[in-house]
Amino acid sequence: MRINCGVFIEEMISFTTYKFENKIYLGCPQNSIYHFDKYGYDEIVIINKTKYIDSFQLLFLKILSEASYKPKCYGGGVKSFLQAKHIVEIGFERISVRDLFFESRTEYLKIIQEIGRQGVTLCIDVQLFQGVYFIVSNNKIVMPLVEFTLDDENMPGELFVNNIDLNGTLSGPDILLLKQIMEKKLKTNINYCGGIRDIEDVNIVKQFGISAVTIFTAASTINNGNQKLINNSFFK
Amino acid sequence: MRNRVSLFNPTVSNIGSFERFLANNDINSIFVDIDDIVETKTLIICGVSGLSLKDENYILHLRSWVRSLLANNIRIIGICAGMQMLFSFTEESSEEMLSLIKGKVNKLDFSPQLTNTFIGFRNVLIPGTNKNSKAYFSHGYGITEFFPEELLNYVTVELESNQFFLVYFEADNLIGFQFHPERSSEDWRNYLISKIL
Repeated sequence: MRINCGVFIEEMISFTTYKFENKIYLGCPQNSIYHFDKYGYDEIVIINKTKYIDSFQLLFLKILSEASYKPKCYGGGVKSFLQAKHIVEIGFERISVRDLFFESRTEYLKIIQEIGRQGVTLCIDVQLFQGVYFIVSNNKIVMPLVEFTLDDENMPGELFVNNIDLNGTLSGPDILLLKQIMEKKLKTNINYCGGIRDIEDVNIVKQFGISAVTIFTAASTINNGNQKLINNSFFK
Repeated sequence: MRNRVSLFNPTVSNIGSFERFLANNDINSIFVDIDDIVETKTLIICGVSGLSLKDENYILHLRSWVRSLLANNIRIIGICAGMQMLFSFTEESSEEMLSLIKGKVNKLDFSPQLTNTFIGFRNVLIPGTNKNSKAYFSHGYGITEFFPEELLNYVTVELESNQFFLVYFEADNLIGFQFHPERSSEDWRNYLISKIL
């Protein structure tokens, strides 16, 4: 199972979050990626909170892709095949798309076809309402998780399951959500994100047979959100 | 900067990773397109996606160009899908590929996992050594049908489903990596450099 670390970027700053309200600044993104590279993380997931991708952003992303030899996945603001193509060509191995899947299935399929499904991660944000899991996109409920399925044509190389209730909480993984996802028997790699605190949590998630776990807050913080640029305890 | 390498992007590829990787190793690279005159000793065909979406005319054109490079003693290194397209056929498409070497690309069986692709690291034997080192894969297809007698050197990996696929080969002036050596361990990055210089 891959253990990936994630970092948010916005306006040339890298940060992580703790319980949503608190942004913990990690400083220069290049420096963060360089340090993540030194430890045992398998891949680096970079989520761009800037809501657009222009030529300046691409230049900035190119600098980030060059900051380490680790494979990298990019997510944030990808709205078209051309944007995805540019991002792959500047040095990212995979593109993560979220809203595009629900907003323009044609463009999503074009990305799958042209880049290849192994280069595409589909991200679904999952939130619990009154005891039922729903997929949300653009702050709106899209569908109950139980109705979510993927046929062969739409199948990405990886499904990134993000429990947004647990993001940044360091409260442990969502076992019930993992069970529901794995019961779907989707023919793709499952990457879980949300609530991971430490290596024990990673081992719990591993028992479900998922392919990867992505750690944001715990990768760079310890002890209730106190900052430590790199938490390497996952690899001791 | 030492000798230059040409980088070719046939469809969509992480060509930027290679440019930087080579620059970090003090090797200058240039991007080339089909029909360009190649003035370097080595051409790298970078790969993320494959040739399966291209039409027959493009493939014929590409085959003719790549064969002319080989005739001029230029070494061709194929990476990931760039390696697959050096072979004859792929299950993904009915079109013949570059056919520089006999073999077929087939869908891999990753069972007992249900997944359609494999993303991650495998330990792969470094040719000429007894050492395994971590190699980064991102693929759903692999070369499962090939002729060992046509290869000077090759490494295969066996999947849990007992299926074997080719992960590395050398044949005359052709070299192929099914994985991404530029994103793999330092051992593999050094091995790639040794094949370029």
